[in-house]
Amino acid sequence: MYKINCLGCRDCSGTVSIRRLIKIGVAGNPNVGKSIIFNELTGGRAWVGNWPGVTVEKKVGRLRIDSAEVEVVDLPGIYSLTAYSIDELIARNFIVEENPDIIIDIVNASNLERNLYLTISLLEMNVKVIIVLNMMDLAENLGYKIDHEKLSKILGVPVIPTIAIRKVGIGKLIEAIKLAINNKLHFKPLIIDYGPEVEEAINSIISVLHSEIKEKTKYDLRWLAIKLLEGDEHIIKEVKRLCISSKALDLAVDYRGKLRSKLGKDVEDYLIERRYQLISNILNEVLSIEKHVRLTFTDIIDAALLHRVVGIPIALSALYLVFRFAFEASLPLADLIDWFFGTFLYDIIYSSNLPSLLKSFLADGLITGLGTVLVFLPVIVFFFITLAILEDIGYMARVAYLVDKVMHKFGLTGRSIIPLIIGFGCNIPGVIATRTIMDENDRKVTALVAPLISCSARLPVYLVLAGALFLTYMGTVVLSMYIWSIILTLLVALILRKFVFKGISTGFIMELPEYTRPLLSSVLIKTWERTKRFLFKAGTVILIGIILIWLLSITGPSGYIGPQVFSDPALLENSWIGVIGHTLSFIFAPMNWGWRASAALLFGFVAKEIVVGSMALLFGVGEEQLSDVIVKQFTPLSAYAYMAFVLLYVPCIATLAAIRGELGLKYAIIAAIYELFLAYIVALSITLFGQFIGLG
Amino acid sequence: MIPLPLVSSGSVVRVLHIIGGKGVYRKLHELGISVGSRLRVINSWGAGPVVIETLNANNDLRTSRVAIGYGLAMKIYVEVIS
Repeated sequence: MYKINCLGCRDCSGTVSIRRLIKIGVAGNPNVGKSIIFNELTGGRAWVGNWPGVTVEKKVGRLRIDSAEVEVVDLPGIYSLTAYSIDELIARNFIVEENPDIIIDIVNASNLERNLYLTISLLEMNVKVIIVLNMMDLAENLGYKIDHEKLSKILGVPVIPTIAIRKVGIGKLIEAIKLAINNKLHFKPLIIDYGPEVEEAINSIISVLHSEIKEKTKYDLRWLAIKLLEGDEHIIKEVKRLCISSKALDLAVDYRGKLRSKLGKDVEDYLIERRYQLISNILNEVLSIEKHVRLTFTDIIDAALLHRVVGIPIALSALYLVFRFAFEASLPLADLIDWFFGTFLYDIIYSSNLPSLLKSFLADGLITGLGTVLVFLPVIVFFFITLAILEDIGYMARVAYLVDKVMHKFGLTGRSIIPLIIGFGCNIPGVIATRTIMDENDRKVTALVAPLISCSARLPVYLVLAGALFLTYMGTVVLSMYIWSIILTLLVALILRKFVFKGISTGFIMELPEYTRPLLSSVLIKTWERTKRFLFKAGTVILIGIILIWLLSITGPSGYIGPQVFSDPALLENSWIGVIGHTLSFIFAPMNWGWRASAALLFGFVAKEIVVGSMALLFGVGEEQLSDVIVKQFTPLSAYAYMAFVLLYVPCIATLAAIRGELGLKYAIIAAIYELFLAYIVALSITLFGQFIGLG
Repeated sequence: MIPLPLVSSGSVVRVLHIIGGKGVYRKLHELGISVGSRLRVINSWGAGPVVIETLNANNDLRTSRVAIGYGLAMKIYVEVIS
């Protein structure tokens, strides 16, 4: 708080207080309940952006304590503060660059040994840390008794036990934050004694840094010295920039060599060992075991869910139920949205007395477009809710484990499964979810094949075509599309891994968290974050596409035709859409789809669900009579090839935009091109094979 | 000294050696697996991933469950304690 002199207005007492914005970072290992505590503190309202220069998500929320405005920043889930991973660098740079007032370090009380490593690393940076001992209930269930007051005394920082999922201890945490920002809490810097040899090295590097650094630095010098000894590349660059000469760097290199021969190992490894030694000593003091619990809930459940024989069948049934639930529970809502846009709003606009061109733009372009996109909202929401529940329980990590062996055969890892499963709802959040894959090649391959997963928007195309032509075999035919989708996703991944993204993957490693009860707020927030991507991206990109197509429909080589095209398909043949459709039907001649169905594919580039609606439009019938027309226009063989083409060809524009956002423009173009070729080859093969065995 | 995937389920092992570069070392270390740490093997079937529990250094209580892909697990050499 700063006091400034008042310029002499009447109302105040002479000085006013200007409170600066308080900044808090929330750090912790993955799976410690970090996002639950972040949501508790910020009331679930957060701005989502990216950390500068990288595609890692940055979440910022606000918290009011008395009259102070507190900005809460959610740091990525990390295990330590090295420079090896982007996430760790982000957390480190946040501490150095943004100079937070407090770091809240969330620690899993049932797994102190590992979690305290990050705590120690944070304390070494000389920041004010409040430790939150979360999951106290889990620790208790395991028979642990933790003396948190003693832990606080040893580490010199406040320690707050919580059970975030039941909101226990959150009030105490806010109380501690309040005391800390009013400077009423005591923070003692933690200095780890690394033993005489290393301490001598640290101290002499510090004294060189002291005289060499040009300006006042944001870094803690002891921390800088330790990082130089560890050979941290990022810090070496920083020191190069900060110092007048390379004296400190040379000294550090010198000591690294000397210490290696003295200690018999790399300094880096030695420092890690010392930190664990310290943690072990601390745990001896604060942790006692009240009772030995032989078998926990997680042990029992995992015995079944990770079982070598029944594990995979259980996973498949669980995922099947997720699909069934999402599609069936959302049906009434989808119908309602369909009616609202397709009938109710449409009729209102057409019965109004607006100019006819505007009427057509609003009804045929805007409203129809919005309707076709929003119809998928319910199924996507229900799908993501059930997935978020499975994730929060801890089951999705098990699924990743179960499929790792199979995925590995195709050059992917177990981690790829979660983005791919999300893709069945909508490819856009699926592509974005590849961020959690650590290995760069694995991540790129997964993002590039993710659009081959049959998203919910493709389903209506299958349903209409299969329903019209395959009758009783409709279910089997639709299912076969999903099987094609999975097979081709894996095959393309294998090919990409073999020929494009060569090199050995760093491998699969994943923590299997204890099973926990899902928390409504966390499930809803996760669902919203994924749905939002579908809504906003799809909303903007698809709308622009729809408007473009509307324009191409009411104009043609001969100039303006007018909105009558939408009621008279003969006129539509003269529009640009007609011209493009005829050109495409030439390319698709072997499959014999005709110009109207070919033109409908063009619409599908905007969003695949539009294919059905635009076929109805192009044939000049309502969607109800569409199946009669389809029976005349398609053979079962050409319909099947058409369905396969819709499954595989260019992902919708919004998905391409997502790939561009994650991997760059180059990869978005690669994805678009390879999928076009793949779709064409598969559709052509189906046709030729069918004709060969005498179908069609 | 044998690679981790060759140990049968239920055994407790001690890590003796980890092959591979800094990346491998660091990733395992993050999840509590480094030279000297003790692990209980929960699931290990053939050429598939291995599920282990890392055990506290002071007492034999488990700290966390980790699934490790087969390739990565083959880089971890252990001795069986019990």
